[in-house]
Amino acid sequence: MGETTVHWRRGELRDDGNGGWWRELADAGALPRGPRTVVHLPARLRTPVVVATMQSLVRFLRRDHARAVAVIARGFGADACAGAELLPYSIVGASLVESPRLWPGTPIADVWFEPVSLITIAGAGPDPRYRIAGVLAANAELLSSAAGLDLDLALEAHRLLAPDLAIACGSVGGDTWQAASTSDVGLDRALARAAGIDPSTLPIVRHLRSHEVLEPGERDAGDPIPRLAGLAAPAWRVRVSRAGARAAHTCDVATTDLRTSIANLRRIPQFVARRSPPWLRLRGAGA
Amino acid sequence: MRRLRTAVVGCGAVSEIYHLPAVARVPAAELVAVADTDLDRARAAAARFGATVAVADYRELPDDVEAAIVATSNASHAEIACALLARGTHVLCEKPMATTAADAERMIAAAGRGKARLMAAHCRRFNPNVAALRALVQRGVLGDVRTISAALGGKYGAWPQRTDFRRQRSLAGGGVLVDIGTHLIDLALWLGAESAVVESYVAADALGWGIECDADVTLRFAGGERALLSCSYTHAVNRTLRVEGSEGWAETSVDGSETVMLFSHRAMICRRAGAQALRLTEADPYERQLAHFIKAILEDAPFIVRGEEVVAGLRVIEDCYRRLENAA
Repeated sequence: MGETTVHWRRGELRDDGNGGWWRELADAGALPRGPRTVVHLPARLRTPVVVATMQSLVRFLRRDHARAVAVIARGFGADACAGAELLPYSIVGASLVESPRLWPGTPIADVWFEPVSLITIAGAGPDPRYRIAGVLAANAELLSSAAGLDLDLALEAHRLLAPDLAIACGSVGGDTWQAASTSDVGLDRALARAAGIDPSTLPIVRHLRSHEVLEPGERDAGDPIPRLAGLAAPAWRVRVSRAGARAAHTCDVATTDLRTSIANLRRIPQFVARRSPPWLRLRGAGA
Repeated sequence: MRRLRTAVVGCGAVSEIYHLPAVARVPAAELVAVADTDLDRARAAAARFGATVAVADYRELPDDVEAAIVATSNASHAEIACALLARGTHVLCEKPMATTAADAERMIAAAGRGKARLMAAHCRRFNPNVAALRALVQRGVLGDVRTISAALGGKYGAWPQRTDFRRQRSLAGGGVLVDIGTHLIDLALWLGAESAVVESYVAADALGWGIECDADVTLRFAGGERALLSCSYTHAVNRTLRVEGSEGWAETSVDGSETVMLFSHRAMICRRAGAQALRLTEADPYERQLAHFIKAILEDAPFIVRGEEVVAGLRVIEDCYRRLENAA
């Protein structure tokens, strides 16, 4: 497993007719090559910069990259999708995928059973649950109907729906910036470095590390890395938030266990009936 | 809600354990009568499940019975179903719907002559896991189907049964192939294509009953895909249903199960994490089957199990038996 590359860019994305930064990413092999691309626009931190980045990307993919593009975005108008199809966020009829961390599983919408490529474009900001809400946190929105701790949702989203290209963007001191990587973990770690904190202190990185071997590190390319001061929440707020979430989750699990136990007890009469000899099953025969 | 006045003909193990409880649980069904050649047994079933009428002869069922579940020995299905259809009673007939394709066609024709409708009770189609597997195939998640493999069976007598009719060719219409293999053939045709030819058939009368007690069938479909089916009265088999396609595979139990294992190169969810277990809520297939049967009747909608499919399945079985006779 080698280093991944994080492509940085500073300044507004301008449509120079040549694809600009998107062309650079395509030439670097970072843009997915599949026939159909779904661009995920999370609801959280959906700033004008994020929307503009999405629109610029969609225009490039449709015009220069000849790809079928759809946008998946909760609470978003189809008219703002730069001509791409807007997919419903609904998980009605979704399949439940077994998950080691989420009970009873993770509802997965039909589209994720298709051969699609996923690009997630997320705003980045401080968050008491993740310390930095970046792409990993943003992608967990795709599983928001599952019940579980935020970090477990993010883990499952990373396991099942890791984007082929992760993009984070924002503005600092009036200057916009974008960062892109084929690794969602690599991008979040790069954001932590830009925010001046040790990436290994991100709760989601620690959580992922206990489940899989992470890439050794990431290499920066492109424009100079912006100083993203204030992007990370204080460590004490993260600890308090996690303790509260754990307590609430424990209550939920206890309630579910109780319901399941009651349901199992109700199965006992049928279980006994199935295994009883016929004379016992039809008591009263011959009466 | 309109409820269909329903009767159950035959009070053997399958009725007692599955059909009668299903009638009690499906809101659109109302159990009004039961019939069994053993009148005491019919009376006991009526008392237990709340039917007002118990008769020894299905011909004595009350005139206002609108639908009947026929769950008698295999060879009697055609005669009973035709008589009920002729008097205007809808029939849900246990598998195998008939022991010959000609009998099945006769039953379908009887249904066609009047307003009563006929559906074969291929209950395994109504297991949520089996239905989910088919949905994956239909949606192309597995790509083009290449192989369907399925196995079903166990030591004879390991499951509840009231009579020993399965050991008698005259009552069962054959051996393990027609009795249990019919499930597998039905699923193969449902998952693959409606028609297939028998590529190979191997059977053994290991128990010396004059019927095949182990049977292995290979079917070939028009597109070149194959079904490998195995059923047994002599030993426990793995009871799995597996479909392999050009883009992946899916596997589940032939019985009800809460999971379907899936791997697909196409599916985004398998790209990083490999094979995934799809989790389903287990549901009683008999209840779902009866609910579907009644709903389709009340709404004049098509049945999931179509007559042509049943005939195609019986043709496969006949072809297998013919091969064995020719070989002998």
